[in-house]
Amino acid sequence: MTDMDPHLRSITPTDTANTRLPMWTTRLAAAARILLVAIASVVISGSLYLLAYMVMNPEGAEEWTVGRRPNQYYTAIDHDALTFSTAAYGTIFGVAHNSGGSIEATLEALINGADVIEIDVVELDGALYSAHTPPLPFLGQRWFRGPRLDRVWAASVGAHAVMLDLKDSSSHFVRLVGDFLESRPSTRQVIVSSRSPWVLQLLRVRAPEAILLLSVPHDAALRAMQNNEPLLETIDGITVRHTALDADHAAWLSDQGLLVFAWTVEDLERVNELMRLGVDGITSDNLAIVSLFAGETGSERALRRTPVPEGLDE
Amino acid sequence: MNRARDRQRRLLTNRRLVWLMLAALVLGTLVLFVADNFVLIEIRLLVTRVRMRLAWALIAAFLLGGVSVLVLGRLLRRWRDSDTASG
Repeated sequence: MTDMDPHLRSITPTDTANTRLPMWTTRLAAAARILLVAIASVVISGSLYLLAYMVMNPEGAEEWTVGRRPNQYYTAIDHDALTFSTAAYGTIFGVAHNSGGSIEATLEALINGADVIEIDVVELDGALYSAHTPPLPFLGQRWFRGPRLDRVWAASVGAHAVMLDLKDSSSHFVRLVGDFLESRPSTRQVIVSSRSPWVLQLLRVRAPEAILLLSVPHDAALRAMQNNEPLLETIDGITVRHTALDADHAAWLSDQGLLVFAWTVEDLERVNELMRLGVDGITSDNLAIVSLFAGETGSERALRRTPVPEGLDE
Repeated sequence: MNRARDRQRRLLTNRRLVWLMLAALVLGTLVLFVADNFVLIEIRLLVTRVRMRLAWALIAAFLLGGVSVLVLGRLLRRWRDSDTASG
């Protein structure tokens, strides 16, 4: 007893006191201590990892915490590289990429002559918000600082059209979007894009005036769409990643009478190529490219609409 | 058996366990705080401007304040002690 470790003495005053306790109590206490150590270790290592991630990749961390800011910028274009007339550029719809991510970005895009304000739409606690990525469950709702859809909608009133890029495909979310569009006056030109054919078929009924675009991220999705007859009857066009669009696809889309929007194009050379392919709209982060499509008087080309196909019930 | 248990107890004293849990609590809270204040802001420092996350700015201000109080406190105490000794 006399040569006992002082540490041991601090936690176990006497050996005899310990022996008086039943064995299961001692084991339970030891298990509880191990559990506490395990929990603390997980929290400590997880927290250190998250802090390191926030330092090393702030843009990524921003996306799942407060929400990603629009990546909008202005880099002057080389006017010698313009291969079409100003009027020809003016026939293209200039879409300011994710400009609905903040009110400031929306106004900046409008000042630079954007024809279309793109708003990425997510649902948060029963309300629609503008965000590129849906916030994380529980804590994400507390962290997220993006604007509500109705605020961006009001701020973008000066645009030729507003494009709602739906980031969710749940029935609850689609119902919210349908309610939102129904509650707004139909005087504005509204484009709705989604990767889900099902969502577009539902919205064809809920929002018959809206221009419905299938969002196509790659070549395989484009080929799948070509074989989907009911979908082709529902949509007005596609909004496609510009690298997935080639001359053959463009010719086929033109034959089908579908609108074609290409995203996200940051250089003028590719803009010229896409115009030769006959696209109707181009999405860009560069406000200099977006302002090019405003032309001298702004785009006057109207977007076509497809009537509601028969046999589609809610 | 008893030796193993004693070894475990020696490694994991109550004090160490409390420190471990305290560290977990502080780090966990820190992550929540940083995530909650991860918005990008511009700080104007009289002659220059710095763009940084609000959370990092607040943590830097907290640490700077803490270190300043610590250093100034020690300096004042040393100054007072030397004053008392000479007076």
